[in-house]
Amino acid sequence: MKFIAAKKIPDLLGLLARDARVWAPLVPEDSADTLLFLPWEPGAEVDLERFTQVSPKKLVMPGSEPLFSFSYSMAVDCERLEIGDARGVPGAGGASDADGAGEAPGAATVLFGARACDARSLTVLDALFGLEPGEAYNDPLYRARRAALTVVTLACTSCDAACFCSSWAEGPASTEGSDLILYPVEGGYLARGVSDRGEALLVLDIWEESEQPLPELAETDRVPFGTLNTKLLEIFSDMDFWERATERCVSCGYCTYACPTCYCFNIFDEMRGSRDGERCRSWDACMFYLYTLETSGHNPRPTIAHRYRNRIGHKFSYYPENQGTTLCTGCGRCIRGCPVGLDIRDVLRGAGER
Amino acid sequence: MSTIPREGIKASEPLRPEPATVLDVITETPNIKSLRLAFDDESLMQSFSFLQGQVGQLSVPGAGEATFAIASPPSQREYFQFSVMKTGVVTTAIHELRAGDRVAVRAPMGNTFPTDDWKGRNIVVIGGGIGMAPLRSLFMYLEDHRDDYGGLQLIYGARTPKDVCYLDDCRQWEAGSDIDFVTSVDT
Repeated sequence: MKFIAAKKIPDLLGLLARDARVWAPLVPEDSADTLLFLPWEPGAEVDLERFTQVSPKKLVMPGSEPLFSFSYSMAVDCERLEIGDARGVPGAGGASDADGAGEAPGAATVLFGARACDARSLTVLDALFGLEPGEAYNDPLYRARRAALTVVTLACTSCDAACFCSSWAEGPASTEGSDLILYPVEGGYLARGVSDRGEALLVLDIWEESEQPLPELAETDRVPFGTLNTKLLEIFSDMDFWERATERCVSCGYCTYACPTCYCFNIFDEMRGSRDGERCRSWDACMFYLYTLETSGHNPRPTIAHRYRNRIGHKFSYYPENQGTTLCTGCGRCIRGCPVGLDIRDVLRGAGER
Repeated sequence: MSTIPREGIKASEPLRPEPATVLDVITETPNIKSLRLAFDDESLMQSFSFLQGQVGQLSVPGAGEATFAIASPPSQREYFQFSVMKTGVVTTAIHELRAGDRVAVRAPMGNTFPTDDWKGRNIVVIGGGIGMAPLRSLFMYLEDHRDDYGGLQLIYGARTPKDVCYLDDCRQWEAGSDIDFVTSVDT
């Protein structure tokens, strides 16, 4: 099996970076406790031990991105409307490198050091955004970014208390969404190609041969899903349950932004002066009061309990019903990062026992 | 969903609207206007088709985009109509529009009514206020295919007499001999 010594990882990244922008787990300059997927530059030290606080979904769905630009005026005698391409408009919609929109859709990108949960989350999103132009729903920007993305996954030989990907059949051994998987072993990593694109990376002149066996992968906590999807419908009106479950929640939305599968967005126009502007799309969060506030003033999800119920129902009941897969891969980010220690697993177990 | 026609939206660019021009603005009530629109691209306008009950996204660039039911019937090929209540930022901008102004539209989107399953039956359509918009498209479709259905009844109400939309249509429905039109107001 192909093998690479740990000390040669920077060389591998350098080879990958010849043809693509490489995003890897890096410590931002101003925050030593933080680990994020950021653009790798030669000399930057990747952290392949800790988990990133925020998922890599920004590489297929940037935090903010322009959809198109326009020039428009309603003023009498100079009325005009031109709709153009927003690509190449620097900073349109507040888009920045840090939230993944620095690259034009379709630019070759490598996601290095994703975990199995992150790689699988891409296939969960594919079900919604569509990969083929002929599908009922397809998002050209998502599709372009997805098609240009190579995923090099780091297999998990250890996990933490928040991980729960073993709740799904393959758990940490899942290859879904990965092109190449690196398995940590003594002195380095074994490499296994999953897709043609991943196999192609194995011809790079950097790999050695190794007889080491594949390592034993982590075994995480498991949430028994069982018939949770129908159970959640049964307890839909059980507001006592939802209010107790969310007593601590402050509706900050961290869970939705850190999540690899939350995809809700808002579309809005951003003007530059009085005529020119961009139509932009930015992440939104169903945990926000404004998310469902209607123009009339009515809000069908007026309390945190209503909104959290929707978040859980969407992930574990409605999305599975519509797309055939849970909208969660057990990465545990929402648990690690919650400022009030709300654990989604407690809510799911509680729902199951209701 | 794959059976729903999407002629109008370019499959490759579903997020990008097409320029359209306001042909006519009808003041329905003190806070509702109907806009009759046509795509600027003539070949697109000719091929534009939708099903009764489908919706479109209407943009006033700078103000934003919002979803509205298409209120005209599929048989109306000269224009398509949105009826808009003035409530927020986008709808306020829409209410500023006059004939000749340009907007941007993504349509058609969404679902339709299962009118094929209703053939041979008596149909009662019940609507209220601005909620009549998609039902206007539906009812006019049923009238266009009058022979396919039994009795056609339309029950339409509004909060007050001044909130009744589509007064010209109401007069025609009232005068129609082969449809039963009932109207009411809450106060």
